[in-house]
Amino acid sequence: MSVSAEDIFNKIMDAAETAFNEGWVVVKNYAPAEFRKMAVQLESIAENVAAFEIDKSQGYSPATGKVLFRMQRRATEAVLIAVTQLTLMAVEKALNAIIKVVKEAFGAALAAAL
Amino acid sequence: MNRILALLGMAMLVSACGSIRLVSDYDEVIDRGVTEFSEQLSTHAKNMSELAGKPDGTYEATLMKYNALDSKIEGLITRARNNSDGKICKLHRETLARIKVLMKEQTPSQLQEGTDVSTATENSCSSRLLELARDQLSDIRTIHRDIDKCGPGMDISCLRPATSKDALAIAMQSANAVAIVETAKKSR
Repeated sequence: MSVSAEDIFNKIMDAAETAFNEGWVVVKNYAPAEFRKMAVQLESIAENVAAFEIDKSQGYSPATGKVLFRMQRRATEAVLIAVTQLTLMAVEKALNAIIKVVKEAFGAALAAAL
Repeated sequence: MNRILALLGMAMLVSACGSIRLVSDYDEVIDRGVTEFSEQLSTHAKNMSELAGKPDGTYEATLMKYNALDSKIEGLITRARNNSDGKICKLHRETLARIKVLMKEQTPSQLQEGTDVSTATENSCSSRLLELARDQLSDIRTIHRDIDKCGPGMDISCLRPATSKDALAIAMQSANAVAIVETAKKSR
């Protein structure tokens, strides 16, 4: 049995793409949803501070708005770290899929040669 | 013969290369702990929203709940830190650049750029995510204790309904960041 570089390359590409896409779907679903939540929250902070300025029994004070804004920045950091971790997991899946293909390719070639 | 030896050599090389781990293993304690933290924080915020302006909704009446939540998240942080071997959370250059744009001079010094990503640095990122969730709780406590006021004279400490709703939504983003990473680890 011959070892074809082209054949192995194609198998590696297929395996890596499939594995990476499986992990990447999680990132693609998670990140935009969280960024949308951030936009909604920032709008809500502005609206509630404005409501308080008109009627002190409504919304919340600018001081509270300031703390909530700080919390939102912190949440942004958390989302970006999570996205990084999820991306790493997608890369990890792709790398392991490649190793599996290579192992199978050489295992089969070895069995045939012996 | 040479061909068989070459194949044998390649097979040995490849088999020596076990599966690669760029991210640490799933931690059931952290997963379950952060879920419980989220549930309890959610219940607390909703209770405070309904009790705003009443004696049961003051900071003094509820500070034990804050202490309990704080202890819970601190325990999870300690667990994650113990697994990080003193390493720091390193992020990819582009991710860190975006965080710096957003946070400017307040960018945490714990975050650094690095290519030597390992399970130890990744555990440190888990620890960092939990620290962020703890800091969110601390800010809710600050608002409740020092800033929001309710009652006829606007002199009773409280979490206003609008504050509770927004603070909870934001804090949940941080807690969910921990949960989604653990869920992804579990499913691989």
